[in-house]
Amino acid sequence: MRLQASFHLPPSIISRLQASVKAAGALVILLGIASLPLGVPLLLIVPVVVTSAAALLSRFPPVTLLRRLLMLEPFAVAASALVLFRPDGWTAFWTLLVKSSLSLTIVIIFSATTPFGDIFMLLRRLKLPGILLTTIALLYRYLFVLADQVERMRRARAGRTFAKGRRLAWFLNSGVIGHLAVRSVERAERVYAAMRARGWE
Amino acid sequence: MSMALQVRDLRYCYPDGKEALKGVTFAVEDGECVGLVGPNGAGKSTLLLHLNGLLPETDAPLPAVWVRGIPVSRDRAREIHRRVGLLFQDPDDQLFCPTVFEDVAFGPSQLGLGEQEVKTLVESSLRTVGLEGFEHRMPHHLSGGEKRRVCLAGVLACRPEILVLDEPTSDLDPRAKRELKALLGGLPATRIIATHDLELVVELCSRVILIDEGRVVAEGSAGALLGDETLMLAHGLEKPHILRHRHPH
Amino acid sequence: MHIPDGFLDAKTVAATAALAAAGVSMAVYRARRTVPPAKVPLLGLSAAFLFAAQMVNFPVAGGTSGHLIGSVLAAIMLGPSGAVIALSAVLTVQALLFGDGGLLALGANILNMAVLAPLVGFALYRLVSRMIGGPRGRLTAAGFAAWCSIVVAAAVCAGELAWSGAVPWSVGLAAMTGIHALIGVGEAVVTMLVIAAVGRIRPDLVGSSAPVPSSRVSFLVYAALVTSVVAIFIAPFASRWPDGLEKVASTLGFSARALPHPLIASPLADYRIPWIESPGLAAGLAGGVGALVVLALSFVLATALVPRAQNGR
Repeated sequence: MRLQASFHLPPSIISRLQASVKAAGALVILLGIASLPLGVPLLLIVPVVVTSAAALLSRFPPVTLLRRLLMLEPFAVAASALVLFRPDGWTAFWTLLVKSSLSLTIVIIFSATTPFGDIFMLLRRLKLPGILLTTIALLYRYLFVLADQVERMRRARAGRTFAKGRRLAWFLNSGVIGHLAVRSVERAERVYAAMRARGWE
Repeated sequence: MSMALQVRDLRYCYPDGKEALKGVTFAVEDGECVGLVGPNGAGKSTLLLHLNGLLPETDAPLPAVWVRGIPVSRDRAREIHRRVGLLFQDPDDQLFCPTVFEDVAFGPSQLGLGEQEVKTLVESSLRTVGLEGFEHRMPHHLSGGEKRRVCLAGVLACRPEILVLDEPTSDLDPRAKRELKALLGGLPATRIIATHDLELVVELCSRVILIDEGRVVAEGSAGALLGDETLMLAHGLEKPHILRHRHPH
Repeated sequence: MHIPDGFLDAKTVAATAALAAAGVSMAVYRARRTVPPAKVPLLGLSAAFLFAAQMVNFPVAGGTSGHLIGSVLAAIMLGPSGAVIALSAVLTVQALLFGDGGLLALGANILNMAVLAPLVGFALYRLVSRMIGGPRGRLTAAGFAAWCSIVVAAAVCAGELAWSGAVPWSVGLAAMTGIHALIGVGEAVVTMLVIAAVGRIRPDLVGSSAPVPSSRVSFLVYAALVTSVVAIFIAPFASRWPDGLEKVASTLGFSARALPHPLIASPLADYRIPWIESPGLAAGLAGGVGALVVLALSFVLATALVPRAQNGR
C-alpha cells in the first residue's frame, strides 16, 4: 500500500506560496537538473544546495523526507544501473542517481506542500479538457473509498482461506480486483444518478 | 390543501425483465411527512427513483407520477429534479466532489446561479445541517453522520419543495441518528422517508405506506399500522419497541 | 515503468510531452463523440479502480512482488479513448500527489503507459479475438495484448532513455524489453484472471460489446498503430548504434562484477541467440518468439478458465 495522501506539513514559507508559483518553480529546478550533463559531478553542487534550501524552507522532517524518497527510489536505481555500460560508467551512474533523487525530492516537497484542491484548480486554469478534469476529480474522490474496499475484501477472503501458496494468492487477488471492477462500474451508475438528481444534464 | 405528489398505477420492469413495481398508487399532501416501509427488495428504492424522474430511462406511454400537478417526463426532468430533492442511501455515491463546498455547490451551479449566490446558498445550507465551516473539508475525512448531513445540505441547496430520503439513518451511530432525526423533523418541506428504522417513522411521520412485492399493501397512521404486529411480521418487519411500551394493557 | 525525473533531457521532455498531448487530445476528441454523458462518471470511477487495483501486490519469486498496470483491461472495459483518458488521469495523480513518476517525465509516462499501451493493446486484442473467436478467443487475446502492451511500452521507454543520451539504445532496449517480457507475463495472467472474474459476475462489462471502429479514420489510426508496433520490433534490425550487443556482451564481465544483483546480466543473456550474428536480428527474433510463446500460453490459460460448454457464445 502506497496510499498516504493525508500527510500534512506544518505551515511554511513554501506551503503559503501560490500553487502556480510553486509548480513553475519546481519545473524550472527540474529542467535545470535535467539539463546538467552526466559525468561532471561537481556541477551537482548547485541543485544540491537549491534542493536542500527548498527542503529546509518547507519544514519537512528530514527522516520523513528520506523515508518517502527511499520508497520511490528502486526504479531510479535500476534505470541508473543501465548507464554502467557507458565508458564513464560509475561517474554517470552516481550523477544520474543524484540527479533523479534531487528531482524526486523536489516533487515530494511540491506534493506535500500543495493540497489536492490547489493542484486541481491549477490544472483547471491550465485549460485541461473538461472530461479529463472530471475524471481526475472523481479519481481522487473515490480512490480512498475503493482502496478501503480492496482492503476489506482482501481481509474477508484471507479470513476464509486456509491454504497457502503463490498460485492461490494470484487467484484471490485477481478475484478481488474483478469484484472491485464490478463494484466500481455499479457505483459509477449510482454516481451518475446522483449527479442527474441535482441537475446535471 | 393541495397535492404535492401523486402516484397512479406506477409499474416498472428492470431491463433484465424483473418486475419491480406492479401498480403503485398513493398521494402525498403539502407539508406531510410520509414513511415508506417494507422488506428488502420490496421496490422502495426503485419507487423513490421514479419520484424525481431518474426512472424510467425512457418515457412510459402514460405518465404515472405527478409533482404538483406536473407529469414527470423526460422533457420536464430538469424542473422535476429541482422540485424533488433526493437523498441517496450511500453518502459516498452522492458526495462525488473533492471538497464539501464543491459538492453542496454542485446543484445550485447546475441551475445557473451566480457565484456569490451559490456561495451564500452553500453557507446557509451547511448552517441548516449544523456544519458551518466545513466548506474545505474532504468527504473522505468526514464521519458517517457528517457525510449524511453534507449530502442533505447538497440537496437543500437546490431548494426543493419535496424531500425524498432513502434510508437516511442507516449506518449511523445512535447519536448521529438522534441528531439527524432532529434535523429532519425541523425541516419545513414535504418529506417522504423510505426506511427500516421504524422508530424514526413513529417519531417523524404522520402517515405510513407499507410496500411489498411492488405493491402498496397497507396505508394508515404510524401508530395503527406499525402497531399491527401480525401485519408487520407478515412483511418482514416488526413492531417498533417504542410502540410496545404504549401497549393498551 | 514510471520514469522518474532526471533521466530525460529537455528535448525528449518536450517531444514526449507534445506526443502525449496529441494522443490525449485525440482521445478526448473521440470521447466527446463516442462516450455518452452516462459514461462520464464511469471514466472517473474506472480511473480510481485502476489506481486501487495497482496497489494490490502479487507475490513473485524471492520475496519480491509485482502489480497490475491494467492498460489492456482498461481498453477492454472502456474502449480505447476512455482508457487513454482514465489512464492519463491515473498517471497525472500519481505524479502530482504521490511522486510516482516524474513531473517532467509525465509526458513520456503518459505516452508509454496511457496512450501507446492501451491503443496498441486494444488493436491487438481486436485482431486476435477476431481470429480465434468466442469467449476463449477474447480471453486469449486479452492476455496476449496485455503482454504486448507492456513490452511495447518498455521498448518505447528505452528509446526515450536512449534519445536523452542517458542509456545506450542497445543496452536499454535489451534490458527494458527483457525484464518487461517477464513482467508482461504476470500482466497477461492477471489481466486474464481479472477478466474471467468480471465475466462471471457481469459478462456485459468485458464482452464483445466494445465499440467497433467503423470509420475510415479509425481504421487508419489502428493501421498506423499496428505498423508502429511492427516498426518497434523491426527497429533493432536498422539500429546502427556502433557498439551493439556484442560490445555489451564483452562488457558483461565488468557488469557482473559491478552489480551485486545480476539485474541486467540475466535478461541480456536470455535475449541473445548464440547462432545469429546480428544483435538486432537476435533481439527482433527473440521478441517474435516471445510473442508466439505468450500467445500459446494465453490460449492454454484461456482454455483452462473458460469451460468448454461456455465457449459457444
